Amino acid sequence: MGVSLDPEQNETHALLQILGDLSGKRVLEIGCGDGRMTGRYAEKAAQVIGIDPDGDKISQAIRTAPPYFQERVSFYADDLEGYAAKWQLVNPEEGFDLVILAWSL
Amino acid sequence: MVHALEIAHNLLKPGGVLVDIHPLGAPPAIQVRLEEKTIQVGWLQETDNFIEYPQATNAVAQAVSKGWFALDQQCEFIFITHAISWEELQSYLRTKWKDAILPEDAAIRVEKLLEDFGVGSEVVLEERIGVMALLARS
Repeated sequence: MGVSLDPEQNETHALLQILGDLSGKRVLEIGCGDGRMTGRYAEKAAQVIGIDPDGDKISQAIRTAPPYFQERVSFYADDLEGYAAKWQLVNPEEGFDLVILAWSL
Repeated sequence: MVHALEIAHNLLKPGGVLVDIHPLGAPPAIQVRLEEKTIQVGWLQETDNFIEYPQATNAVAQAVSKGWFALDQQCEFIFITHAISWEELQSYLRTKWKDAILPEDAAIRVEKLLEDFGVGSEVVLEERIGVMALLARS
């Protein structure tokens, strides 16, 4: 497709400026879609979980993930309410350092 | 939306940060460009008149007023979508931005400008996006 999104990386610059140092941090990205934005910061975080209710987009995110994602990034087809219930059941004492609402509120 | 912010708050560690990114709700500008030359052609509209974006901003304000978060930082940026033709832009919007409405008279004007500008010209959408970092309060 002859369309490119934010090749100027204005989004990346704004995001990295506001996120600050991500080293050692656990991040939840809500509405990650096909992982377009995830790839712009995930390399700097310790662990990233991306969720999106659209299973097709999550399949695309998994299919197109760069190799380094395997160590630290997981994608799940789920909505926020469903994922939060599962997370709190399995990890009642653990929270995220950072939650990103990615164009999804 | 406020409920989603409450859930996000509950998922954060004490002192954790919520970052919200959403369009500010101004109609994105449609332009034809070639290097430094830019011609404004019109504005993209949405079938619901961008109602969800001020609602999102209002939901964040409510979450702050409820004491779940404190505003830490905010900034804006311009998100630019580049297309090599009007047809490519339409095709992209049909799949990725389903409630987008392009002005009816823009197609002919854009195609004429792309032809006049020649090789390397493109049609772009410029959209203003807001970013807020909110500190979770216990």
